[in-house]
Amino acid sequence: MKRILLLLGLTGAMGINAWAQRPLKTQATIDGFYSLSMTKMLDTLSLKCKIRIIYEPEMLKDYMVTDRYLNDEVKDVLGKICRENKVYYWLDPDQNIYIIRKPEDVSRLKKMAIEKPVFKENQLSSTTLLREERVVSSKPEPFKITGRVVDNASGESLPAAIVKVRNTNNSTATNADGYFTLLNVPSDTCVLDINYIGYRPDVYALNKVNIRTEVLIELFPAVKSLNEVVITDKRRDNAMSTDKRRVSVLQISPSKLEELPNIGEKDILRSFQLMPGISASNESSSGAYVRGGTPDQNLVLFDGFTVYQVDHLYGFFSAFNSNAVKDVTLYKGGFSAKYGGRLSSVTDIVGKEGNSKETNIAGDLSLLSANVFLEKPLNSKSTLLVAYRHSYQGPLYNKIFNKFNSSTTVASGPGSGRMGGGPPGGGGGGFGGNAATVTVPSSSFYDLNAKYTYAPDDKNRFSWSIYQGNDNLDNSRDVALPSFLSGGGSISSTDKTTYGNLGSSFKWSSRWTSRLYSNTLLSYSTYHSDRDNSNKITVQDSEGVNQEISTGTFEKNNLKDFSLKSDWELQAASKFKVLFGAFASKQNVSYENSLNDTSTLINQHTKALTGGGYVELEITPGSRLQLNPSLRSTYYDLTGKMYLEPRFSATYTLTDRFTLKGSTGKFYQFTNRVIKEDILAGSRDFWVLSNGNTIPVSSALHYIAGFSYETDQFLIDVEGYYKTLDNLSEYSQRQTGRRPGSSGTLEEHFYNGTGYTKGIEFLLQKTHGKYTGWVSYTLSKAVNNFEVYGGEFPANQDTGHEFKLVNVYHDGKWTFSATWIYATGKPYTAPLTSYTVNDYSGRSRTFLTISEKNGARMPAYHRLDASVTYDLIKIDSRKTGSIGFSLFNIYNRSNIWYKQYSIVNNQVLTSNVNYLGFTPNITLSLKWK
Amino acid sequence: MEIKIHTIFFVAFATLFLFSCKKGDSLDGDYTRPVVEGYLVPGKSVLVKVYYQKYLDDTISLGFPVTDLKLKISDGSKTVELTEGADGNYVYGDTTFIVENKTYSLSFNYNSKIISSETTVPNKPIGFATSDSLQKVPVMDFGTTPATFVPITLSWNNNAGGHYMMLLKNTETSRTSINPRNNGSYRDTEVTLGQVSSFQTQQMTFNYLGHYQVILFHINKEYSDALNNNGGSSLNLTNPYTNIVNGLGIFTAMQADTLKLRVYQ
Repeated sequence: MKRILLLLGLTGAMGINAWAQRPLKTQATIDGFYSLSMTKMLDTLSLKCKIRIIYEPEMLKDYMVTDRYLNDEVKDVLGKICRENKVYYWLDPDQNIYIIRKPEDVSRLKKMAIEKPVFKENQLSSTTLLREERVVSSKPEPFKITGRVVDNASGESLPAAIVKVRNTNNSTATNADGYFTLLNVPSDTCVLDINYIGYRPDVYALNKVNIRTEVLIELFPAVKSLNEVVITDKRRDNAMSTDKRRVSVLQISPSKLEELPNIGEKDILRSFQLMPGISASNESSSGAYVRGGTPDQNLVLFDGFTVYQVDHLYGFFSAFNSNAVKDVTLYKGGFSAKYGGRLSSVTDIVGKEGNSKETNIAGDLSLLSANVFLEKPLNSKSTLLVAYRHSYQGPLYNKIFNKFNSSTTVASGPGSGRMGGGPPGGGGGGFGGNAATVTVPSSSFYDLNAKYTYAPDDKNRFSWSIYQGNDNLDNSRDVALPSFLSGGGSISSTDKTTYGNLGSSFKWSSRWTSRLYSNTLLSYSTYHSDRDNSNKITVQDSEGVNQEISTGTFEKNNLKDFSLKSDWELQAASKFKVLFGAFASKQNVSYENSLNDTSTLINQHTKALTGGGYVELEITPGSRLQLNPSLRSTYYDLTGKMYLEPRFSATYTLTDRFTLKGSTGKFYQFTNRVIKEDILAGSRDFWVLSNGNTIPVSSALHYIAGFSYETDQFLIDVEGYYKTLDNLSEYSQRQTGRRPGSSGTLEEHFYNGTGYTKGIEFLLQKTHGKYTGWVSYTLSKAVNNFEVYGGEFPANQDTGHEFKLVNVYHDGKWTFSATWIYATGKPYTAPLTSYTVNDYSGRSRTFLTISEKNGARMPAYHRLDASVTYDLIKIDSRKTGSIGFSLFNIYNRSNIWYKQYSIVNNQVLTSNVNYLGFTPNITLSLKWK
Repeated sequence: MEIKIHTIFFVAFATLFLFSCKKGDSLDGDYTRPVVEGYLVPGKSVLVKVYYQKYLDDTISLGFPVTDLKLKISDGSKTVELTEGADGNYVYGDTTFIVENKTYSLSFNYNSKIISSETTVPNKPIGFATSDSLQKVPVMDFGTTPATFVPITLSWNNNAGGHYMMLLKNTETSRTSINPRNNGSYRDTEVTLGQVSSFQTQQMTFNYLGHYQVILFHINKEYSDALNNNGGSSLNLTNPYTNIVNGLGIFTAMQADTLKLRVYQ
């Protein structure tokens, strides 16, 4: 507490320093004779000199300006106007000018500024303004303009920002480095509208001078932005309705995540779960269950390389540090041929490049982890960014950790084996009760992001990005035997799981001409998951020599992915854009399962080469229609076959507010993540490569159709989908002969089947005002069909109804938010009867019969979360941090995770294992600048 | 706007009703499946037990016996009928009926359904040998350091990938437990081995001192499948394996070879 107070004091002190008036940096001059109202004059100044002036029209409504200027500097002009009218101007660090009468006006004006875009509409259509310019009315020749969209404060490029020529259907999106090219701009008096999520919409007026150079558009972050999670191709001004290039796309602005309730961390992947189509009732997985798909059917890319381990701490937190992330886009289906290798969806994460203007340090502290972040311009051409997050074993960490480890006594070797016979082999229990010393080791996770960006000229950019995330989950016990027993020695029971991902990519992006852009990426990603569940007994014999006896299971899974890909974009004509590229990757997967450190049960090594290319066309034949046909072709050497994936998406703008959209496509998946049935035994999951027989290459077909309707305040979006899945694989291990003194055999079973998912998603979003939020409803069905389970059954991830309510209310420095989630319970397999047979030696074995696979339903899942965030803002409006207080599962709903069946006195008893109950959290975020 | 929202909800609920049609599956059929337990061993008489299933809250250890059934076993050329001894225990006394490599099929009528199963008697284990016929188990006692346990290895030929099970039978009439605190009743130790060709003893393999019969069974895979656990939580529960058509349990054949061992301290 003391520390917080100290920090607050410090922040206050920094704020006071900022009062000192700074100079107006602009060198712009103004020329000509003006006689107009002061408000019009200020508008003219801001437009001509590209400065932002914030004023209250009511305050200035009676003032007039009449003067003749001769290349006078703006700061002089402004000073003179203010002096004559007895007002003052005040400058903030972003060089925004506030016209005030007294200092108290600043805060009011700031609030106003937040709610309004940088320039007002009428400023541009004002005839008074244009009268002053000597407009040469020559025959306008369509021309092209190129430019770049960046963050005003940090210089960070903004990808996928939408740039549009006002009152036309001519628009484009910026590429990964923030560059854009607009062809066929009709005249040099046009105005560009620029929209980017998490930033204030901006306008840029073209003139004869700036069209000849590359324009640089600097966007201001929205201080209290409209929404954290917005569907991009709809969240725009009404006029911005032509760029309907993408269907089923969600985008997130990580900087706004702190306003949503959280379990302990701002979580980029978990926030997507509040949107329709992404299941929210999987607390133990921050991986995305998109439209009835499983998390392994979701491709996760970080700066271009595939990340195979996307979560921390058994899935409760996503593995990405939101401080190091610039932009996250989730394609829920029907995605472009640029992406491949997964059946269901794509999450494309772009890391920050780092501030190119000034050094900045920021940090977060929550009940779960500490997080530091540094960005630094190294010289005028290169920047560096480093972010590091490490958990500590606070109450929150332990609460989640114990969920998985409270019942170690029943954990056993791989496969199954909780009932009918004691737990042989592994298990860490049984020693704790001794009057001996027990030491509990520590568990933790960490992740590290680093990125170095070098831009030698404005045509080329090189960046080197590293991501490393690791979990070290240790539930081992060391028991030192008392000396009266066996003369000392120790029993150590190891139950250690480590998993993580290390990835690195080297990217070269180049603009060959203003129409041709390429992005070449060399990447390496490696995933590992090791599990050591064993008991080691060390006993000293009479000669004082230590004897070690080990029993238990050891599992190792390793995946290495080495990839090269090159993506190209060619703006062939204004109605025609070509995207094409090639890719090749080499994957190396090994899985080893051994027992008692002597016998290896499974030892697999698979290598695969994948290579191919894609072409995508963006065609805009009319003003209302946009077509995206694309084709991807992949050669997979383990099957020796070529896989063709034709895809198509289209949008049609019926009216400015009403858009129809649809997409379809074929998708293949070559790497599969096997989820083991038994979460308490062994590694929960591991990656395998398709081999064409036991694990076939799975495929999917998507059909998506929908519409969106937008008003000034609301957005309604409806999408329906149907997806067929072929060659799905399920894996299970059965071990025979697991008894002390026998190594036994581990049998692997691969089951293959098909499936389908269908559903309809509704979203009603309030996009403007102090109160924002949305209601989302998804009706869906996910069905698998496996012969081994007797045909069709509801898939494990099937939820019928999902209803999500998200409310965010901004008031000054306070933000209040509340979310409520309701979902139909997950299907599960319930026992129907039991029966007992004796084995040959006469020992009884009891089994449970089941009605049908996933024939029963858990009770509905629902929970309410809420949070309060207080922004620490300096008087000059810079946000220096925030304090957030978050409550998870407020009414302590016992949501059931799974049911445990145990046999006591021959009776089958069912107990529920629940998800997290009420969990509060507090997060403090601070940044230096 | 209001109307639009209403329309959306109407559509939503209409679709909901379409989705929510579900077949009213009758589960009664599952309760009536009888549980069969039968192990055929050459040179032994045939015994097949038939039980009812149990309700989940039943506290009985085995299900109630199913009586008055007419069980038949055929070896392909000859069909014999089993007679009911104790309730639910069906026997055929001729010890020469079960022979190596023959396939036997069981069938009976129950609840107007034919319950049937089939199994083949595997070969006798070949080349069953032990590295030593004496096993020393070091004394574990307070205040002393135990001597090193030296395991013995039992091995056999398994070129065809057969499945094996081992039974350790203490043959002493008055038994001495190795662990003085063990006061449980004696039971043969059964170890399902899988597809292996050797077995190494460990400290904990033997619980009693004295003479042991080590019986190696060549079994069919169905034995280990049917006695393998089918999960204990809703995350991993699967249908238990059975080779009984229209029933549950196990009907299988096996053949054994025996070695003798003596355990001492």
